[in-house]
Amino acid sequence: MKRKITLLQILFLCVFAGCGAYLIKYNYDRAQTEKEMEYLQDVVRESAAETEQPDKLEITVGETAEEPEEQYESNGMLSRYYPLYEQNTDMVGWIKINGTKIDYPVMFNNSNNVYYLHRNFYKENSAAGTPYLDYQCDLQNWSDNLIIYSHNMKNGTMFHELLDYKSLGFWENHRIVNFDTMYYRCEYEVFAAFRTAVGSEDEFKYYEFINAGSKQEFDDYVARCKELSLYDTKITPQYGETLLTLSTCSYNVNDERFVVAARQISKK
Amino acid sequence: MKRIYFGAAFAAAAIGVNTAAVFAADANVTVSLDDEKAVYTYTAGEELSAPLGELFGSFEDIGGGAVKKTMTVTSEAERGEELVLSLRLSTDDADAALEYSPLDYYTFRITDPENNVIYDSAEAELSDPADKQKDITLGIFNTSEAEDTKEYVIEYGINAETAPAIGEELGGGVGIELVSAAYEGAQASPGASASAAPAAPATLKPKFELGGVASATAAPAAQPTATAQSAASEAATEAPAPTETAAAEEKERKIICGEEIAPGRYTVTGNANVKIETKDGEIISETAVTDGSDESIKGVKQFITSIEKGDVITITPVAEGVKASVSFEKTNSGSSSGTKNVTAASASGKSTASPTASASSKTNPKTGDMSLTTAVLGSVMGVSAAAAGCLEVVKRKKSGK
Repeated sequence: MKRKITLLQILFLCVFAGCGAYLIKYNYDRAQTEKEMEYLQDVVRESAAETEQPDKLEITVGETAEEPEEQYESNGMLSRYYPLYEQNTDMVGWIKINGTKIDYPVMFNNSNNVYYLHRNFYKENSAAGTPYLDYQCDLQNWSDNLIIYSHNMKNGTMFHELLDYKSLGFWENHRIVNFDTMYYRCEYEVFAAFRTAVGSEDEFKYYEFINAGSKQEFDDYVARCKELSLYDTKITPQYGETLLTLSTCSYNVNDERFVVAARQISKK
Repeated sequence: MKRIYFGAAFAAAAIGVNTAAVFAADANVTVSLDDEKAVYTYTAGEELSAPLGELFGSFEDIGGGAVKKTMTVTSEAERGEELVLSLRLSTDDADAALEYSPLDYYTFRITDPENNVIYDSAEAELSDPADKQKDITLGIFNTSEAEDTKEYVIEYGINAETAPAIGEELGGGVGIELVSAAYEGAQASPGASASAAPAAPATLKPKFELGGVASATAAPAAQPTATAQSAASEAATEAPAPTETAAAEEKERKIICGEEIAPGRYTVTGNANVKIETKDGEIISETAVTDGSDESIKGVKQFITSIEKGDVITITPVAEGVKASVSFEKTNSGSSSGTKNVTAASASGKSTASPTASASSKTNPKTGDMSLTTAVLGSVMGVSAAAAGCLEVVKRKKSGK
């Protein structure tokens, strides 16, 4: 009897240790991911020739502050991102939403739409993955709809803060999404934020819309985004404008996605 | 012996449940309609969508008259998150071709215990037949308490005016649920605090209407010359150039702490209305500063404020015809600004992202975190530890005998 009890104890302790080891690894992975991303952000900041934030800031509404001149490599790539591109040529851009933690490189793999789902910038296994462009999108010919996926991490990283767009107040203060390619600095204006459950009867398959076959198809897509949107932004993209779709998981219902749709407003 | 085993199992289960509770949903809403009650549990911070069909019963039972019941709604949100709770009517039969929307098949009249009208369909506009849902706002909950209860008297019946045209089939398909939304905060007013509970429930429409000042798009800086771009890697694109937003007369400027201005403590001077909000829209302060050149303009000469990363500062004119101009000066000394230029030697770059795979059946990547797995594992850990401990107790008791 004693022996049986001891064996059971050993079994329970093994289960305890196994679960503990997994949890430690889970938290360690997330901490590592955050550190890696901070390093990447630092590299971009140094390369971008950004000034340190001054001790005195004067603002006059109606006057535009001078922006520092952008620097380019001889191949046309933005110098601010080139040092990272040299480390991994799968990098195709950088996404940033001011006032949030979303400030990450965007990767691309033209044959595997989940390659960077669980890989970091260095192609190592990572639960958080790296934001990546849909494998069907084309930045050279500018697809009508550029789709970027990333995880919704419970520790607030990756696209977690995208869910804040459920609130009108948040949208009003965070209308602009910056998605730079390796050659252009681009701004996008959010026009819709919605949820859709994968596999449901009324699923909106936004991820299948890459290029519009016609103006009608484009308008229908935009109309569907606005119809599902949690609020009315009164912004309607026109045919010919490039759209940006940011997609992440929402935990509202099973297999639901939270999607933020934006239209391009500047390309420099 | 059996008691010991049962005790051990119970302790293990209790520990497991408590551990799981740390990760489990931590917000509840209880809705009671007369003697019927339903409790809905959800994760705080997520939106609630609680079906009330069973609670209201079959609307077909209403018959010719209206039904009057007392409805109590209790919201428990551990984080004290301010919520707007609404009754949502929804229909799958929205059709612009219909004369009336199925959402108007029923009448609703909701009052508080003091008989103040919160909603009366008789006075509200009819829904657009193309509308799929209609929200009736019940009020803002958890403004100052984690557990907030509000009572209503709700009368509902069949709308004699619209029901014959809509028909029983469409009307009977209308669903009713309780939904939540984060409270957006009050409109800007000097000294207003976003956490103050208004006397009457917020009159929010299902689709928020925008108003206020148009924010101008900053004019782009001088474009880099075309020679900076290699023709080999920058193939001429046929895509039409994106249109930039039309430059409206700029009447406000927003800056974000952490972007254009560092977090810290600042002395603010100038001639402007300065509103500071958190990134979620909660107003921290709204102050008018004036340099005193126009005595008719009310304001302070300067004020000191602390701003944190993510805070949004909105600067608007303090009066018509007065250009808004403001200065933020750090109250502590900081490092001097400097610029860095990196000119990397460059190799030829590869072409930008181009797909090669042909489109086949496409799936939507699963971009969720594995936090549920960790919650389960945490509970299992707790149970295992408790079980091992209990077995040790049993073993020692046996040895003692």
